[in-house]
Amino acid sequence: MDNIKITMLGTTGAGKTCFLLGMYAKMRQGLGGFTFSTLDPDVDLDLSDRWSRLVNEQGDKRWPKPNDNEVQTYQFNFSYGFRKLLGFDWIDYRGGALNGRKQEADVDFLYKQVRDSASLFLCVSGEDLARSRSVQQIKDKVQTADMNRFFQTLAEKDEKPSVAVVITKYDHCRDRAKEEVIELVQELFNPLFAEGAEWLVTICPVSLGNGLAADPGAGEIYPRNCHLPVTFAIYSAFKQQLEELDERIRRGQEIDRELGRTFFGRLFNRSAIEGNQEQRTFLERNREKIESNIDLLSEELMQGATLFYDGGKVELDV
Amino acid sequence: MRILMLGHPGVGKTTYMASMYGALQKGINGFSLKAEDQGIGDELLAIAQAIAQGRYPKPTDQRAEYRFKLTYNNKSFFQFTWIDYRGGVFTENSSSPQVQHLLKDLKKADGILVFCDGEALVAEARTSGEIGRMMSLIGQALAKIDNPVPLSVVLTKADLVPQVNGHIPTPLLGLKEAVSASSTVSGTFIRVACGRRPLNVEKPVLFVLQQGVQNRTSRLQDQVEEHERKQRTLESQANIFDDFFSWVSDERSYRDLAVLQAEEARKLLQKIEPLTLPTRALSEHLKDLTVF
Repeated sequence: MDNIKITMLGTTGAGKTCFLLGMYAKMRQGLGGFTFSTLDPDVDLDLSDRWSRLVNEQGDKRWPKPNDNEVQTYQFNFSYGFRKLLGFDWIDYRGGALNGRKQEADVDFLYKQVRDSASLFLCVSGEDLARSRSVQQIKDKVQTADMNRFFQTLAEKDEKPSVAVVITKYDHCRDRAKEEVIELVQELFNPLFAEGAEWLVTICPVSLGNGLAADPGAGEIYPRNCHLPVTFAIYSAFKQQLEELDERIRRGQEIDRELGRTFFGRLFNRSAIEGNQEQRTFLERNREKIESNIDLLSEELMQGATLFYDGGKVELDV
Repeated sequence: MRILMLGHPGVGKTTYMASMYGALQKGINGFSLKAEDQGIGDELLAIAQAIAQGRYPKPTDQRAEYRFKLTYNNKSFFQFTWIDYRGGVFTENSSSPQVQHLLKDLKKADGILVFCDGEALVAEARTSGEIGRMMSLIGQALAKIDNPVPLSVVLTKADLVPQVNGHIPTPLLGLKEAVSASSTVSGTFIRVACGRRPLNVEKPVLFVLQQGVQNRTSRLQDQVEEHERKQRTLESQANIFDDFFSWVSDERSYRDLAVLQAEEARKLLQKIEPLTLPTRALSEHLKDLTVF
């Protein structure tokens, strides 16, 4: 399968870097037979060092410094049993289109980064969703109006990557019940959950440690659910590929039916029909492999994510 | 066979190697180890004796290669190269010559021993980063290897963590699951202790060697079957006319070629024969190990 692109969006301080570090630390160690690795061993070393600082240091020293670069890119492989299933480019966008100082050029730049993404990760800090804020305050802080306008633009261009709304620092909004948080997110980003809009969305609360809200300097680092958004992205990429394969197989069958409609058609087109059947056998074998990958992902990794399609809650295929 | 020994600084790789060598000098179930370089063998024995008295060696500061012969009932039957890396290599970037060497060695490895400090594993968060770093490098190499590779996960200082008794510690579960899911890598988890009361010191290396011997036997057996198949095909084509015309033209007949194939098969069987008894003995000695 070709590499896919995952773009991570979020305002400054939303916790994108820490989420990436927690995700990589968890998946690099392996989960259910699946592992991540970077293409560049030096990137692995850098992420490893930053994670070690998070875990071992105390106070402000542990937290990564804000990054001024507009876009940061990482390349990963996703493997099962040490065999690569999929490569993906991780784009960390932190530019002007999301910080209230946006201009037209910023929005165009963001669109170029997001274009061709198989999945978007929308990082929203749990700090911003705490009960102490009103809904309007939350909308202003998270800049939902800009985000939703951007989703409308994507929908108009008929480009609908899967979307993971990643609630980072979830330990900060534990004063709210999980269902309450999910409903709040649906309200904040209502275009994604509108019936007929056909967006595939998941809402994933993630945290680096339950005690960090009370004690960010010394609280224990124990990542929770950081692996779920990316496995959702890979799951939805495989589902997309499965749909494309099914379409190719169906078209191949139609062509063969047309070619072999009559006796003379079957006679004169025999080698073309046989060639098409071989191609279909190859496609069907690929299809089996992808279905098996989807089953593995569903069974092993998707316990804890809430999925929506076309505005309605959905159960995962297993 | 090339066996790679990996682990972070202070985990006990050199202590293990010397203790393992010392233990196998006394012979375990007929198995013994001999260093090809007598000087290295003597050095390892001296370290093993010091360890038995509670004096532990300094950390390794360079990559080192050792060549050994595994013997069974005093007959040498398997040679291997053992590669020891300085633990600090995991914290260096790819411009370091040692890291470049490590990446090349990983791709050519026929067996891997991954060392984890049992005591440090109790402080799970700290060691999970170290284990992740090793997994990243091992995973990158294993992705490109198609032949079977045995991987032994060795928990050192097991005498200091009796609570880790048989079950695999949480930071290592991901590695175990990835190995279980792999079609080319087979693994086992072994607790070892060196020093005054050694525990299982010979098992990690014997597990890896057992897989290596089985892989070699299997490859040789495949070649024998290929020669025997060719022999049968040639014999089915042999007849007196071919014998006559081959004699006239001074060329090898089908019958002659079949004999040559039989001879090749016989030579290969002679290579397999000395491996048969030790392979069975190794399986017997390691039968209680859980392989995943």
